[in-house]
Amino acid sequence: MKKTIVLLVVLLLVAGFAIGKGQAEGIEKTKIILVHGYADFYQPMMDQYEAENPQAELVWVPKGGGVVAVDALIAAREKPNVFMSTPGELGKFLLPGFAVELTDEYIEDIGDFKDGALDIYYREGQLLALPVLVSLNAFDINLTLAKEAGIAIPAEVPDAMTTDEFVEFSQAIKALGKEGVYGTAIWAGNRGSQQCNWHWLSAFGGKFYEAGDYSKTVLNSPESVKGLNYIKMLVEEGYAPPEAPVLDDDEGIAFWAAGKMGGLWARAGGWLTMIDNAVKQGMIEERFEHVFMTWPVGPGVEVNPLSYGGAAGMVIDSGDKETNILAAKLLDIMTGAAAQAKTIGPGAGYGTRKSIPALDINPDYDPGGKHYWRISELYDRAGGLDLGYSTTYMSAMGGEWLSVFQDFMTSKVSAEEALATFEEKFNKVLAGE
Amino acid sequence: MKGVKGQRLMLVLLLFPSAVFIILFTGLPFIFMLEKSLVATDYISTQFVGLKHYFDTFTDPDYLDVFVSSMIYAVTVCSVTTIVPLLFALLAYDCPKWVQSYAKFIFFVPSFTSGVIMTLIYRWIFQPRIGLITYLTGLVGIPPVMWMANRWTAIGGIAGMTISGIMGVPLLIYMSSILSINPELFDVARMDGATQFQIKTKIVLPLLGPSVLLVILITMMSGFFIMETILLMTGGGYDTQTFIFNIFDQGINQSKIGLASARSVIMFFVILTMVLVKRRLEKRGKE
Repeated sequence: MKKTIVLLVVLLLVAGFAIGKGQAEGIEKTKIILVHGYADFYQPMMDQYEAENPQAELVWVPKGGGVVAVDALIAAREKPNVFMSTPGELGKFLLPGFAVELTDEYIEDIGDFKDGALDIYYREGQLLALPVLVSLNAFDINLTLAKEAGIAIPAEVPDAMTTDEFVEFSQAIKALGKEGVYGTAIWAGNRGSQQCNWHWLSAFGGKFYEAGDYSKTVLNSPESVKGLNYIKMLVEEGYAPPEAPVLDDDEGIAFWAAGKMGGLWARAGGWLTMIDNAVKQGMIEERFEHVFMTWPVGPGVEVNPLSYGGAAGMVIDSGDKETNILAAKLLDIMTGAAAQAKTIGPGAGYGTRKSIPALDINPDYDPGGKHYWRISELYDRAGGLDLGYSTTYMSAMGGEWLSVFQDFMTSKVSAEEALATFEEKFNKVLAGE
Repeated sequence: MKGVKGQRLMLVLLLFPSAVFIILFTGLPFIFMLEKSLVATDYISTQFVGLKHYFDTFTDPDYLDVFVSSMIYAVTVCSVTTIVPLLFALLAYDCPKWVQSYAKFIFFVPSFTSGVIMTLIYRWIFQPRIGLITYLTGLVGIPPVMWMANRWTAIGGIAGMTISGIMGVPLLIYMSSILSINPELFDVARMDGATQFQIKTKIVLPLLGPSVLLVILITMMSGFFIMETILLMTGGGYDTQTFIFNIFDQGINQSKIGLASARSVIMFFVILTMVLVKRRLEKRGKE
């Protein structure tokens, strides 16, 4: 009996001590709210952060679609501390005073980021976000199909075709008479991957913005008119699927993976496994040979930049400097060289830090990282298509564009009318109306 | 008196959990929505703009398209899903049990399938080059049509998908309403020499009135609430947006929280009007 009482007293004391310790820890800890949507990828970094910063209580909120989670937290007066997402989704929050300026006081090794990697994250001279990686898309030419069509691609592959050469290329592919096989694909069925279509405007010199001025669009230009009319010609001449007005990006990319496109918007890394999946599903007998180029260029245009995306992160000002410093430590880990090394090769991304360890590109689908490095070289020479990617209204642009593009593709309006309508509507959005 | 008081107390106790739920998750958000409809906000900065969002909405020609599309969806979905299951219920209620069960099963099967999966199947059906409809029309020499690139055919197709997905619910409502009719009414009618057709049209149909009104309300609202089907079929283009899709588009894609809130309030009043009309009709029916 005595033993039992003693045991119970000991248990009570231990339990009391444990509860007391937990409460004490709870009082001392600072809550750091992190919003991101890549649970598997970021988990090791979150574990590392918790281990290195026992004073922080890390709370992860799944991002979900768009920026709804962040909006909801702000509305509930529970601002997140760190937000990781695409630059386009970050754009709305990159405001001096709302986002913490990432000086040396917060991030130790800002100098480790590659030249130019931080440019799009500056506002009024303040650095407000850090990139994790950049993803790049180029124009992928199906060499197997080209060979079949009797088109010789030189061993030293040029950076790009001209738009006239691409028409000849598409004519030759059409002449094969293979059902469902086209020079390329155009899609107006959804908002996804509209960069693919914008490249054709860029091919003739069309631009979204003039030299970093994101206050108004300059897309409505004679060059863009040429680009739109070229797109229409590709469809009307049978160089692209006739269902372009209802085709979506997923379908177009599936056609590419099944070897049915002479050339299409694609990327290296995990995307190449889609070709293997097409083989497994019996859509093609074996992998086709392919090579990446930049998008074709029209007369007088030297280069057609690659479209790019990626992931980045920011610290939202909590109003307390110590908390901001603690949150910045998390951002530092999330955008660190070790974190980048885990995803860049296999995920088709390109690191933004100089100190990234050696890449581990999957040899099964990209031996020696041939495609991966080819795209990297193209980007070094051609740069990225300036779509105002991290600006406030990037996500609104797709909706305004889609309706005018659909009207154009169904011949309800001319290229000039479509571009004028887009300019009028989108400039209102940019003006915050 | 004590008994009545006890019953009232019991009523309050039983309603309390639901009332708390409604106040927390419907009432309070509605008040917040009213407040947001009067401001321009992206949650970072907020500015009071009064009724500007309402004014902008009613003067926006694009919103007129949304209004027209929503009404077409609502009327199409409502009329088909009210009439077809009603006719089927009238035909099937005196059939053998296995026929009724089979009919309910057939009508209900699409409801068990995810809306996204259904939409992907319909994408293939409407695909203009390799789709099922193109194949069938091709057999009789009709060239491919881009169904989803034309406002009216796209709305028709999307409404058709919605109809197939919700048709089972009205059938169940009608069948259970018919089962609740006192069978003695049928016996008396037969003794008076009524034919089966007369029983269905003169007794069953009038007694189904409240159920029909309920189905009309539910299915009209289903028309307003079409969302993921539009997103996947047209991306919201070709003037196919519903009220709810437009609210999503303005609020989520374009971060115009105030405008989206104002449009939510407008949709609330449209639905409220429908509910009041239904109640008035029910009242008139009872009189």
